[in-house]
Amino acid sequence: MKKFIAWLLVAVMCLGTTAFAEDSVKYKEEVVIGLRQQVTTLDPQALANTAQNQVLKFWHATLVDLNPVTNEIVSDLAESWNWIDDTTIEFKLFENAKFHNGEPVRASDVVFTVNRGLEGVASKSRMSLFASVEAVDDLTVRFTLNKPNVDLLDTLSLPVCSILSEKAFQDDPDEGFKVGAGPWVLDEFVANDHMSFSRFEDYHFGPMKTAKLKVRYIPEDSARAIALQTGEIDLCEHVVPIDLPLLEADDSVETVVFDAPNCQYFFFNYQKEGVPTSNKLVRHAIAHAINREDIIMACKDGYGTPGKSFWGMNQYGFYDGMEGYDYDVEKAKELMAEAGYADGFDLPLTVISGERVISAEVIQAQLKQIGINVQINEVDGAGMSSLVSEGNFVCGLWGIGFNSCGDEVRRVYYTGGSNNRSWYTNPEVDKLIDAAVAEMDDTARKEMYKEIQEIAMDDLPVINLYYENEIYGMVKGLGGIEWGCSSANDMSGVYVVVE
Amino acid sequence: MLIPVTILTSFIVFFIINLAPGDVVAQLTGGDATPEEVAEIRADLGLDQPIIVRYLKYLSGLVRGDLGKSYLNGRSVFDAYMEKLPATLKLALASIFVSIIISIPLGISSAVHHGSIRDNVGMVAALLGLSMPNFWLGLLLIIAFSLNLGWLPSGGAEGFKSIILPAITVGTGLTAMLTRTTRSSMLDVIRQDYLRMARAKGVPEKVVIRKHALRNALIPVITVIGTQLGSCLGGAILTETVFAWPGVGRLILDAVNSRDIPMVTGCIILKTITISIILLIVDLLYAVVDPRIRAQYAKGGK
Repeated sequence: MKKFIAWLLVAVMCLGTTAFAEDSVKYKEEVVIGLRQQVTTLDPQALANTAQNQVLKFWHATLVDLNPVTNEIVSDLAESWNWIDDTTIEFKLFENAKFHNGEPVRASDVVFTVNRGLEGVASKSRMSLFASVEAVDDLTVRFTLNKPNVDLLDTLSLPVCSILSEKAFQDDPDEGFKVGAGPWVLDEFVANDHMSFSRFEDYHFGPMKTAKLKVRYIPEDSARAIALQTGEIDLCEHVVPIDLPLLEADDSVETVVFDAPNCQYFFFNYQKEGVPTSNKLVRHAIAHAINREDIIMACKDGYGTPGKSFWGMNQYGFYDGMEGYDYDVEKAKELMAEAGYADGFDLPLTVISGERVISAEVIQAQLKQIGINVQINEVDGAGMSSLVSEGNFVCGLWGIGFNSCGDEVRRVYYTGGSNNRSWYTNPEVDKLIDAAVAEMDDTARKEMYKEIQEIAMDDLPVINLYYENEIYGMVKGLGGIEWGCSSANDMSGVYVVVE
Repeated sequence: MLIPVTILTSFIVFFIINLAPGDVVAQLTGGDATPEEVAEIRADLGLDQPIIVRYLKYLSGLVRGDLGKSYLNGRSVFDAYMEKLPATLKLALASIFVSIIISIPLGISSAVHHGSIRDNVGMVAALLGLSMPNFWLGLLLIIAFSLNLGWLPSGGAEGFKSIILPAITVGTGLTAMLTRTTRSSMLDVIRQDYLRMARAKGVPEKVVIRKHALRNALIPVITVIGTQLGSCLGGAILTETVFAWPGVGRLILDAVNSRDIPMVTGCIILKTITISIILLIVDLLYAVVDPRIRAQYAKGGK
């Protein structure tokens, strides 16, 4: 007991000192973040890609937010919410939430946002989930859905659903989206170069610790890592593994490695007829002949996690318990013989120039062992999109970043889904996807997702190669960011402690 | 002359980029749209119309001085280009400056000491500048001068210091051509009788070289400088990438990658116009250095 009391005292003392330290801590006036991708437009509803998602949360706020570590939905502009029935949900807004133009965030702004979003290229599909949106009173907004959607809150946490200020658009119809209700006020945006922010003193969760924030666009990976070492930037996004040893040897910087939601995959044209890969056994054989570890080693110096199910690691309903396809050349050869291709065949593989060509070359060498002669067809990003959307390919390599909600599967497996690059179609899977998104019971829903993954594993339209590891570099003393498996890390809380 | 060139350029660029597979819609939606949505967006942008119709529409805007708007963010192409042009101009002029201060002395000394070891060393040095890939040299310079010595920033475009490394990177790439031109042009001149005459009159060797030989050898050198400046104005894409230099090169590259047709076509037209103006200035400069050409211009004017 005495010992316990002693420990308790020590603990209390520690708490005391930290609390004391907290008061006297000094924060760096301006934090500079170096990003590899550039932001092309500031309108959250016009474009949704990783580059936009990384920065939108600096000056915009959504109704709810997603904690990247726990995957829980938390408050952002909405203080609370409750489902009235399967298709109706009400949000109560924080009374003290304000836009940067001084206007309070009101239910009418939410209605305005949804109505404007129906016209937005990127927001259209999200906003058309609703049959109606109405302002019950100043602080209460009610959404009525076309059909039940369990993933609604996840969707509303995406930057594309940022709440816009109606007043800002009355003042400036062209650039009203520069005003947000997020923690940072956008001061300047210079395309292809940088963005600068100053903290929003009236932010409804209280002002940030850092006074100024600057986001610099530095496209070259090594130059960006060097900029971190020279102190020109404080946080370096996307450190490539080849630069990691240099950063680790530098005492002034730290690095963090975590699982990214990005998945690199090999996909077949599921609906293409008259090619060997339309035979399921051939697809199974190819899956057995690919050694994922080799690919990760060649492309990422080992910074990747081999995958089985083609599903986001942090996505709801992730199931990895199936047998999958281990690297087994003998088994692959048997399957090839069984399919009638013991002598092999030629296989064109379409791939975007750059890093993925390395994967393609590794796969080329591996498939050679089972007699498949891979011809690599290199195209650029826009070319790949068009070849795939026209179904003009046999198989290819691509990557995708999964969001956390279960219905993400609709993008990749539903017939005609937006990211269904393999042209996969299976009525049974479509039915399960529709049923799962409307299923309120957790266990039953997870069971459906498990079933989908098992069916897809056997049909095998897509072979999951690996999940990427993301590496960030930062100066010593940097904090305020929760590193987690999300398609865009919210970096808005960033600070650097000055000693 | 400028007008037919502009129209021809717009025609070629517009059609070639249309031949490449893919369009801007995938970029706009982040690849996250159903086929129906894609079709709708294409219709909004007018991408569903035949190419000749789209080109004629573009051309009708062009003759009224309207270069169109970016598909990606709706910005005026002219504004976007003009915003990036100052950075590119700065880098181009600084690179040419670096190239001149290296090449001309090197070229002269090689010519004067023709066939000697100095000549060979000079030529090898100039060639080295040409053979070094820009992105590699750029990274080496960053490692040496920003990381190890900490004298200069590794990238960005803020202040005079930030231009030094990119200018050296681009400039050294230009030296080979300029040095060789200076050298051969000087060699031609050095053998002329009037130089022997000048020496016979007792003019000091330094003055002979600087005043009599160099000035007469300058015409081809200026031509080369003019064309090099023109090519620099197209933007040095690799150097701009390594040094995060916000110039037109990256603007055009990003536009090509996202198939932002109005942006690509507009930028290339503006680039053509800028280069034409530079070449005109070069032509006028001939007259400044060479009285014979000035006399010709005067005759033509009569």
